[in-house]
Amino acid sequence: MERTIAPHKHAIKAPNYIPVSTVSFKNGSHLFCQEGGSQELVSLTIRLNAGSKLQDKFLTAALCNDLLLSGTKNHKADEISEKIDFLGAYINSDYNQDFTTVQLFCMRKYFAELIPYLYEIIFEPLFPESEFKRMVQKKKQNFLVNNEKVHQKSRAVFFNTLFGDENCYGALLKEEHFEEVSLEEVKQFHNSYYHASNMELFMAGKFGDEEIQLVEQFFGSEKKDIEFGEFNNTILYPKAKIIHQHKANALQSSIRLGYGNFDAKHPDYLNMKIVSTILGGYFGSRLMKNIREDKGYTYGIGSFQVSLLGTGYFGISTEVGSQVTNNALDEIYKELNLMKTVLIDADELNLVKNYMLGNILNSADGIFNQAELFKNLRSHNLDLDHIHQLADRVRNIQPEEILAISNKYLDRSLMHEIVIGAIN
Amino acid sequence: MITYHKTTLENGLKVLIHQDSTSPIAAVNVLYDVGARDENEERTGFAHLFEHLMFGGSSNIPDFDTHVETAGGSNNAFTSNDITNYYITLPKENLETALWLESDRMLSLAFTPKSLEVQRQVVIEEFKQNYLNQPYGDAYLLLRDLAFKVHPYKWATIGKEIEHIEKATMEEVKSFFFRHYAPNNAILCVSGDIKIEDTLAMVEKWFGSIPKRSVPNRALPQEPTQTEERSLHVERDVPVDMIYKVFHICDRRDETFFTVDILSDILSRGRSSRFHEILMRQKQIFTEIDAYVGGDLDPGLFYVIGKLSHGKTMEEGDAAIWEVLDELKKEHVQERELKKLKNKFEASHLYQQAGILDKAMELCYAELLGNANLVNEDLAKYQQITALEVHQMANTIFTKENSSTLFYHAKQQD
Repeated sequence: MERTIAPHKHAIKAPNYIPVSTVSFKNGSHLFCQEGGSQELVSLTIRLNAGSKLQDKFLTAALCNDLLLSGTKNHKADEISEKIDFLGAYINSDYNQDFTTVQLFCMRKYFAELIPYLYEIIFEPLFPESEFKRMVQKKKQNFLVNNEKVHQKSRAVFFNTLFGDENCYGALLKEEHFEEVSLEEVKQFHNSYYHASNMELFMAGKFGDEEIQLVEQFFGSEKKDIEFGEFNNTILYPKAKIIHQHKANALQSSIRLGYGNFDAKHPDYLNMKIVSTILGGYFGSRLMKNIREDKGYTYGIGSFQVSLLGTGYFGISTEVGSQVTNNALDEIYKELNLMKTVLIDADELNLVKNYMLGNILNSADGIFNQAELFKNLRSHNLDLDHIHQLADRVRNIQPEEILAISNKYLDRSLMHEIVIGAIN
Repeated sequence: MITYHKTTLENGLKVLIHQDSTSPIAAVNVLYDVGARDENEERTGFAHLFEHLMFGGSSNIPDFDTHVETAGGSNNAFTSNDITNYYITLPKENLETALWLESDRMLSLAFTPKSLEVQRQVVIEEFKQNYLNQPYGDAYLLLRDLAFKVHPYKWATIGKEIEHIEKATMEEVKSFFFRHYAPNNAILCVSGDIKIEDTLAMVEKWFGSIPKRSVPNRALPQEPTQTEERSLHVERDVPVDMIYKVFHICDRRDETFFTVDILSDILSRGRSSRFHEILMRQKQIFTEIDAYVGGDLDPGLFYVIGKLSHGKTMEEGDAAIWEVLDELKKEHVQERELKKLKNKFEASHLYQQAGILDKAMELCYAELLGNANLVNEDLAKYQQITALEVHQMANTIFTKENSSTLFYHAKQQD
């Protein structure tokens, strides 16, 4: 048998997404439905326009989100937790600069029993003082522990450098902020932004008209005009800086390079997605091949082009042995330069194209993966067309375009350079 | 219910095939029955180092990753104290590429010196990144060493010390491969929207000719019963005090394993669990506290890990943990609490079996335990557990002389 000859590789098909249908409620909210899957599971995600960019003081939006499960008008915290656990369900909440999300994940047969709780949790929390204090302390401990990790620290400095103190993506959390946040502000924040007419809803899995009607009954009628406070969303895109912070006894340095650029609607966004994948977006990428697989300087290195709301960024991130920090930096800049000066060869481009198309196909594996993908797109006011456009771009991009894009966006002069570790 | 087709090739390779018509992706999972427990005490970290070398080119294929990526797939692996597990997911049309790659590295590796030198460095950086350059990063290394005196579980998969990885030679690498990487020491599972006959033919084509190898019988020193309470205090440059407490328990194949498992669920599964409700919310002694079982193939550990609230002492924390454990030893669990955990277990069972790769991994692991169908039988076992059994198990496990505790102190600030 001839083992040196690879089996034929087939062209990679386009994914088959389950269509998304939209139900519009009286109060102007929309419910996006993706029905499918082989198990009797359903997920309902509620996404409120209540991210940290709307807060006056640090931590307010986060604590508001954290305290949702601490008891409501009708049910004590332990009763709610017991109910959710008893029915084998999960209620998870999360927040970022732009949104607060609360997700119910359960077996279909218990959906009707759980949805009143979901409503109470979101709209009728009591915010007890003791739970507030407990949560502040817990968050502060996590902050202090994370602050000891070079990669967490460099991440915070990275965003602060890219977007500045005044911008929600750049604001830097500090220890004193834990003393400044107040329960009053948290309640005020909840009162201002947690309303049924300030949300989008997403349902995925196994469900039918009954479940849709229940969602409408609880979340579809209440209407209120929301006054959005002022928030600063202008970004100054500061000139590239070099920031090296010493951390005594660090065995590794965390390196982050990058700069703020644009969001997913920019004409070069898809091209940059491809360029950053070639450079450091997969296991066999140039940065991994050179800095891990050839030099052994690191356990991992990656590059990425990310879209935020109204902006975005390009970045490179790694942790390397302290004594090879400078060598690693040199190699990273060398790879950036190669992207700008040498045309990509056909084999490598073919590999990256297939890898990316395979990855796109993978995003269609299972109803809940598809739901995550859609929610993410929707948060940028995009839909599944965006993925088809990406696939088209991947299929058609030419080596010359990659070179031109690299010259435009990978120049060293654009990059902030952040190193946290034992600096000699 | 996960259905599957099972067969064993002449060379001893166990093969499982699972059909799922809903996914455009196929998964190939290969489990080797070798882990850190099979290492020489002077060469710890070897099974894991070896996992890295498996990507450094095989006898006929110099570059593993390139082929996976060109086929539109991705791949990775992990090593535990018991097993080493490799997996590839890719568009189902390219399934044969994955079988070709996995079979060639089962046949033999390229064993290039360059690969050994580089992966040695990569693993050393991994050691630093995850264990040495992290707050609390060495806690599990200290804990294993405290709980086990004889059994190889006393070291972690990353190894006891960096020197062992630095000293590994090519001769040792080769000998490790031919002792443990053999078709008769592996389980293969293919899952996806595939046909059984076609898949079996491809598996036979690529794996059928790999020779059976002589795999040494495992004869590990068993840990003697612990008879005295153990504790260790360390002080590090970390912001918060933590308590790590472990108890010896049965192995994963033991009939009573799920009774131990449910004990950890009573303590910390969900917000209504006892640790969460009593120690975090009511008494506020810990800001976070968790309990779980390792599920090791030899008798392993039950873990309790807590982060103390500001101003609480180690003594208060330790006493509070014991108070909750003692309650389990005194009083039977109420039926509703037991029912809650059984419901939660059933639901999480359903959630976990959603992905194509998850199912392939679970089938391989169940087959290693003795029978792939355990993926379907475990649920019933969990459902049958009684309050009396839970009570007895709590009394067996939660004793001072069966416990080892690591008190991880934050260095006092001046």
